[in-house]
Amino acid sequence: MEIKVENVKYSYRGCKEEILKGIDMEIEEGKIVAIVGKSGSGKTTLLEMFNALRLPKSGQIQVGDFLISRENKHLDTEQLRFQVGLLSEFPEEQFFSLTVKEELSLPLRFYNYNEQKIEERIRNVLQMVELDESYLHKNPLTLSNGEKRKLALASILILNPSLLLLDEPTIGLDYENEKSLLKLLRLLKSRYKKTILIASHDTEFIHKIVDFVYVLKDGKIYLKGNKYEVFKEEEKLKKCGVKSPKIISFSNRVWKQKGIKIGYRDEINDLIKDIYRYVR
Amino acid sequence: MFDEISPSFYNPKENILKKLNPINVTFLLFLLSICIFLNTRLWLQVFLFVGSVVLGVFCGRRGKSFIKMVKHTFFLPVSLCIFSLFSQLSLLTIVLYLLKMYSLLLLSQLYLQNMTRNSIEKTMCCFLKPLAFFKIEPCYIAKSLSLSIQFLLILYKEALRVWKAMQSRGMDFTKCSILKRIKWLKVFLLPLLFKTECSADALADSLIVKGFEQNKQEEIEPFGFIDSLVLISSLYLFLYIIVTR
Repeated sequence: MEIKVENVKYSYRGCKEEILKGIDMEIEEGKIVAIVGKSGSGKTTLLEMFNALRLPKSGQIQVGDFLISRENKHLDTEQLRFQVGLLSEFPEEQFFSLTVKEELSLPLRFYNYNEQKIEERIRNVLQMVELDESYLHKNPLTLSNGEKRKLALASILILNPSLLLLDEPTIGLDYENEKSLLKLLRLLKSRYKKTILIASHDTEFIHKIVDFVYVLKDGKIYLKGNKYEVFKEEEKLKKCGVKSPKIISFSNRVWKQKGIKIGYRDEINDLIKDIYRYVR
Repeated sequence: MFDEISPSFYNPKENILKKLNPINVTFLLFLLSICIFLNTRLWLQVFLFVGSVVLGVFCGRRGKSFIKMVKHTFFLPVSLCIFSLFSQLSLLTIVLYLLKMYSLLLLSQLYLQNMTRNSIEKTMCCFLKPLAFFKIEPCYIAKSLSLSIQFLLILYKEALRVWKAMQSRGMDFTKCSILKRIKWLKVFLLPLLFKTECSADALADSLIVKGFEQNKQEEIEPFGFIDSLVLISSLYLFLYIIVTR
């Protein structure tokens, strides 16, 4: 699902100051894209627009065949939200039922799916997020943070959306859970060809997975490009209140202080191999 | 959370009501409400209604808030019209009652939008002072009242959050039949109940942390010239209505 954002502006009701001051973006199908910026930079607001939970004050967003704008009164939000799944910052906010099974089947029941289809979808989705069937009768609120996040993601994936919007997906996750989320997102991209849009300030996580990065500052796109192009600009990122990933900072420092260009890597093991190669 | 959400949180802009002494604002709006309630003349009711709308436009959250309120309370004129069928009320009386209702609604909305939790508490404490004579602690009652008002706003915020979460999962009630809405209402109410309980806990905790026992309160500005002017004019209006009734 391709996305095109054109000159999107937004201000909250009753506030004159614009939180988004003319955003332009283009997202290719099947890519993982990140929106980075400090708290209050408008990441979540922008993300909610792709789902038409908020409408832009001016400008428009083209999400596949759907045109989201204040002028378009014929937007089929029901179909749009079927195609675009949003995982909120706090997964508990998206839970409405007392068991995992009920929770997962909720949107399907809303759309009158038959029991067989519901069962099948639940099984598939649990497999995708690596939760076994013993979870089906547990209370969603009693799960751990990582499990809640997986369940929230599963409850979005149950509708099989083409575009996934993830708002701060790593908050409250430990190393293991973060790793499994990483694995899942990679799987969703490669096997299921999903387009994924992540809003986060966790550059360490984002750097490992995204293809393209947009950096927001004062409601505008301050930096954009592939992850290496963006994350190597340490000073510019600092101005946006964002820290460059450590692995990139390290490569930058080696280049600046020792004049050795070891290149940028996603994983520390690859970087170590490069260093060994250089030392030899 | 305790500081973040207060009744006036949703109306951050400065206006004349915010500049007045909160005790005076409470008294003024209370007096106006009694005037509206007691008045039986249509022309005066129109005047009071227009006055409330003007106040709403300048001191409310948004000029459009009244229109929104009318939209959400459409059942009031409908029920009044149904009632008139049985009681043989004249059209003018219906209009008079409608104006009364909307003016009162607008004033209560204005009051909530322009008072902070502490100012409500302090004002209530001042008005309830005579209760001390009966060995009832007025400040505790005032605090409970102001907290209840604040809690309503928390409830509203939580409801919006749940609503948004449901929409983001593709369950949009605005586009389905009334029967389906009723059927799915429990899905909306269940998390709301949980969340409001958590919010109530958080509010109670923050009260303890912020020293409820010490009964900390904000200082309220003393009465100024405009305060006296507003008070005298509202008293005049009140007396006029009472005497000429």
